[in-house]
Amino acid sequence: MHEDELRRQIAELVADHAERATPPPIAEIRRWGRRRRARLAGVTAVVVLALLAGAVGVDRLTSRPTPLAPAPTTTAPPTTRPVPAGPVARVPAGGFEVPLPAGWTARKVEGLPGQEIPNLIELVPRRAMSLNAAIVLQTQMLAPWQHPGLPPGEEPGGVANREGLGFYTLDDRGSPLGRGRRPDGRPYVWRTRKLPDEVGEYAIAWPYHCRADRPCPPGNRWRVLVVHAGRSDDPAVRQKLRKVAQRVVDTVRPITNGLRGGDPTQLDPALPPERAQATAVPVPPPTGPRP
Amino acid sequence: MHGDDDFGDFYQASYPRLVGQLTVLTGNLEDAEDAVQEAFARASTRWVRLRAYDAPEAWVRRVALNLATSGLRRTRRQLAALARMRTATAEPPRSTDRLAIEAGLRRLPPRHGQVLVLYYGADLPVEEVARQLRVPPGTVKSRLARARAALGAYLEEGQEEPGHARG
Repeated sequence: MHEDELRRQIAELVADHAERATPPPIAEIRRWGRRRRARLAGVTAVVVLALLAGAVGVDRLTSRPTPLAPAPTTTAPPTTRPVPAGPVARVPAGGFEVPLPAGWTARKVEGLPGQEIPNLIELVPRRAMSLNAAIVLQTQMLAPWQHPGLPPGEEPGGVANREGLGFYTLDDRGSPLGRGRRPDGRPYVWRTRKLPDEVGEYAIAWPYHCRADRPCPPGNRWRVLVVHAGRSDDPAVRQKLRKVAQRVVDTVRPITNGLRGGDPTQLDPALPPERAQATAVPVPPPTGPRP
Repeated sequence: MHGDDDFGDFYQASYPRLVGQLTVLTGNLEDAEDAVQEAFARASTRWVRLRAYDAPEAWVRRVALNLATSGLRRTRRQLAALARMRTATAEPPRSTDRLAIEAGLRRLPPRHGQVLVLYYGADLPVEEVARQLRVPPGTVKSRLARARAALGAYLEEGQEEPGHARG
């Protein structure tokens, strides 16, 4: 067949089929896109948890020593609350430190072989409650419309609309997002379980603080500290996990780049890389009553 | 909002065209619509970035092609079994030449079908086809040549055995 004839035939085929195409309403496409994004975030969380569970299992099987030595509290910068005595796990890149609940230990986690995830830590009970009983803390950039620090009625504009930013979302299909405040006034959102063995997930406003002499990373305003409360088939274990997770939410403290005037030299990998053109975005104050 | 209007216009204008191209490739309108709708759903959440592109349609087409091709890979294994059970669907009458070409396109490896559909069906130049498929232009040209040869051989075979290709 001659090339021109082939071109004509294929073009007519395309046109034939195009005539039969019936586009669904655009609102449906948009809804589908939003759901897909939320689903992806959920799947990512599940995969991370599965990897963590695998790491815990392997670690226990091989009886390796706990790689993370809790840092003494004396190295912690001043906070607004009294520092409880006891071991503390520090995560400088994530800008947080967490006093370890009694009977729990902390473990750094590897992403790629040999590479720790610098803004993530998992807490595991010294005596195994169940395979997935780990509580995971990691900084993320939360979707602005879910962010606990977004004042009511404010449109998430500015950096939220910058291109190339991937947001973490709490999958709120299992329950509507709940809202709360820590004893120090810092707001958080949470959801209850979506899967039958899930306990829930918290996201605490954890803005990244920049140095005055350098541009802020895009998305710093939307940084949160996600506390994933683990999973268990056993309702009693789930109840215990929830209690511990709530305690962690109340007691985890900002350090380094999580503090105004702290040490922000270490860029949190949850945030996009620093770019010269990045605009500094004012951080909303985390205090004050929420209507 | 202006951005939303943009996306709506873009969607309405591009959807039929992309479905047409993908249907030729997959041989199935439903599969093509699935892939294109999924690609537009992904585009809707990235529209702020995509609208700045010279040709956002190229991005959507690329995603849809990937989805359709991976779908093809998954489903080709099932096609033989399904073909025995498949009921005939109502389709508009087409010329026997076009039916033969469509059947021939489906028999080609996906990478060959893609270049034919993009080059002839979407009327893209070789360089643009190369960009879409992320291969060098030389690869596109060689695939085009092989695809034309394979399609030509298939059509000749059909002319010799009409019942085989056009039945």
